[in-house]
Amino acid sequence: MVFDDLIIRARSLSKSYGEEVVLTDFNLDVWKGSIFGILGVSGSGKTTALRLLAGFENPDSGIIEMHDKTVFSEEVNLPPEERNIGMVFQDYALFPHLNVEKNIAFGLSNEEINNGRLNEVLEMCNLNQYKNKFPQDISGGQQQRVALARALAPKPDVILLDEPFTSLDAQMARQLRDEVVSLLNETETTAIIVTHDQEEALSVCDIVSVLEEGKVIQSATPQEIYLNPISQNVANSVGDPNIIKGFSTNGRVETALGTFVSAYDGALDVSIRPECIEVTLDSKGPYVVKECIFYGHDQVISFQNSVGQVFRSRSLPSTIFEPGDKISIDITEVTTFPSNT
Amino acid sequence: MKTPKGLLLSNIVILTTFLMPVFYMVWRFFTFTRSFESFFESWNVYGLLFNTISMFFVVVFSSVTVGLLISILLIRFEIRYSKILFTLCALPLVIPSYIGALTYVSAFSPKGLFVQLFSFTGISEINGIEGFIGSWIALTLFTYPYVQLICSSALRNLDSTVEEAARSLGTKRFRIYTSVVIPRLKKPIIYSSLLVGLYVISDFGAVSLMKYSTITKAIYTYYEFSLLGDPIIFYSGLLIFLALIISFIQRGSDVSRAAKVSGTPRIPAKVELSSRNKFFVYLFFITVIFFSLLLPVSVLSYWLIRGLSVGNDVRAVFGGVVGSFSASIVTSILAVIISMPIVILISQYRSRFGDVLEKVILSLYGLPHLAVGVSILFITIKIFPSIYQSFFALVISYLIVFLPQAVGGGQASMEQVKASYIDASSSLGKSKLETFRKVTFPLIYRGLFAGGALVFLSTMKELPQTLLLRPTGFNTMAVDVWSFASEGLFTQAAFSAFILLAISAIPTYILSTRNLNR
Repeated sequence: MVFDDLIIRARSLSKSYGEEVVLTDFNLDVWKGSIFGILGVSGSGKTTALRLLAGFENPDSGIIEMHDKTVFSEEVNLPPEERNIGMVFQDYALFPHLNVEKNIAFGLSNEEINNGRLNEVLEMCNLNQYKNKFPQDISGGQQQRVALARALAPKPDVILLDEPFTSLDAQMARQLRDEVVSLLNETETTAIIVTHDQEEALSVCDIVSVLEEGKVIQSATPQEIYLNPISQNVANSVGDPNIIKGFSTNGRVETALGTFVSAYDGALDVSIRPECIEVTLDSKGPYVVKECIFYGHDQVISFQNSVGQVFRSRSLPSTIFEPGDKISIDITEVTTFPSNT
Repeated sequence: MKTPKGLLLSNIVILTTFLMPVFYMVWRFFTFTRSFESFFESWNVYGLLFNTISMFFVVVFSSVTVGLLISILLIRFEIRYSKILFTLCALPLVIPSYIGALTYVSAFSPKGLFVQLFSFTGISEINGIEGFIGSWIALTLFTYPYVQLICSSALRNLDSTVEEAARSLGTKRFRIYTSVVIPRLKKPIIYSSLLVGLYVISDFGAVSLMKYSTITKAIYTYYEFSLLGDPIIFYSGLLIFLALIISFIQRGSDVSRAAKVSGTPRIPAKVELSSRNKFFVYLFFITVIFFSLLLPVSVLSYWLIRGLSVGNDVRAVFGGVVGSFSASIVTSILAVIISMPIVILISQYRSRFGDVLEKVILSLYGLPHLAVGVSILFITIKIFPSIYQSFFALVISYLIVFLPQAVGGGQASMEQVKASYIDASSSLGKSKLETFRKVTFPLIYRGLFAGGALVFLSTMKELPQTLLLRPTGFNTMAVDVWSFASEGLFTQAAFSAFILLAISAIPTYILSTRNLNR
């Protein structure tokens, strides 16, 4: 990742529809060539953020700068067609009256087409064989490719992708995701991806912003977000941790799963990811397996302690656990947050 | 999204202009110098109301019976040539009621065509088909196709599992229709009956040629002989009132929802008919097609050939042809242009005003043409005398009743233009104007054209408004047909009628079946 050149900078964007506040104090810095992710559940304001950047809607307040040029502020408001931003829509928004080739050529000038840009993009996105077909006659995955090709063709400064893979089946989504990422990297295109899918955000993006109820609650690298979530909400949005309530005194917190170190004292939540709990069969172990769900690449083991509290562990599928088996555990990673309540 | 001011303003102007006739009527209605009781005492109001309403009921009953029978027989039973029979049965839709009535009046008047053809048998005079019976037959034959088209499209979408369930519970085949199928078609049946009913109470052409006194005929008679304001306004107001009640009830039975089912509808296997039943079924179809299509077309052709052979001057119809075309072209182009801001407001900007506008436009469709014509007539006499009997006033009057067709066409095609297309285009560097030219317009022009074509055809066939508002010396084919026919000059009437049908029949059929099947 190159940290030398900021391409988009947004400060204090806010947006309401009537009474309903959809975005407050939204900030964003995107570096050239990076893939930036905005992760949030539906209704968290992530699509609105994208539409504000693209210029389809205007923020109530705030500043958007691109390449040191202000595109939105109290004085300036550049229309979308002058922002040089490409967009891949959730429904692809391919023009139904134009074939694949003409869809991709839509944003190109005649000069650019004559210079071979159209063929270059068709080649690059493997769309040559579909160029005479109409969008409604090709598969969802191909439509997705066309939408990306159309947005990439005019060489935008940044490309915005709104839930780009949600309407595809899981396998297709994964395959296309890899293709898109390598295409973006090859062309050194900066991208902002909006998604509700944590796996997608963590695997694809260089930086992820977690959005909740119109506010960014953490913005960091995927590793940082996953391993050091700033709050329980972030932890919940990237994974499915065990949350145990505790009270810390003198930097130590006692919980049902053991005693851990804490940076501060008082009521707190201890978050332990299932994959950070290693379980081993142990006839003298203090915990009992309640249920084991096998997923192929891994398995999730639910176990309970002597007072009936249930926890989850995720481990490799090599050992077989049966309900009733006694186990002992080893915890590798723990995060603590001030308690929500 | 916020509605742009210019768009809002143009819509307000259009709405006000188009509601003017209704406002005017309401205003006149409440400023009568006489009491309503005195109207009922001095004129035959009850008699006319009775005639109109009884015609409403008998025609609705017979149209629903014929239309429903056709749809059930053709869709659920094994009948050869069912596609051709379906089209032949639906075709009378394109015959305007006054042309249909003309063929019946001329064929079955006391000394008409029928008597002349069978004079060798010694018949010299018959009790002519006119008045109540004549209007009933004429209106039924040219309105049952609406029921047929609406009910058969609903029937095709009806899932058959309920019927299968009924059969598995031991219900006999015939009882299934009365106990399961017809009750489930209730909404489309009500919807189409009210459509037919609206047609009946607004009809002027057929009842006037059949000399049956309804409210519409009374309005025209007052207009022709006295031009007295009060009775004309009173009866027109009454007519609008009846029409509004009918369209209000009709709106409650939205077919598009009634016909929908969850999942893919499964069409049951068609039922075989016994050979005895087959005979009756074919007899039924032959009778319907004979009276609604074959007879009118042959009578018309007979008059046409006779007119040509006795050397009637063909040039007499030219004025009407030119008049019809000029009025229809101007009206349809204006309708498309005026519908644009309305369509954009309704479909691109969700707003309360847009919802109201949509409802108002829909209700304009149900307004009886004669009543709208009357209103425009009095507005031009009393308020804008400079446009009295002008082409402009006539076109305005057409636009008021036919605009919904253009709006419908535009709206249907606008549904294809997703908001994200517009966003996509602007993110690819296109200005608003370029976006309209390269994205919106290519997607909607077919719908606009279809809407315009429908307005064109409707205007061409329009009769009552044209009679009231046409400038002196201005003729249309419809007016020619009607006035020649009312004077008994059938050979002349047949000329214009034939040209009118030749131009309008096929496109009308295509466009109306497409709309009713939607």
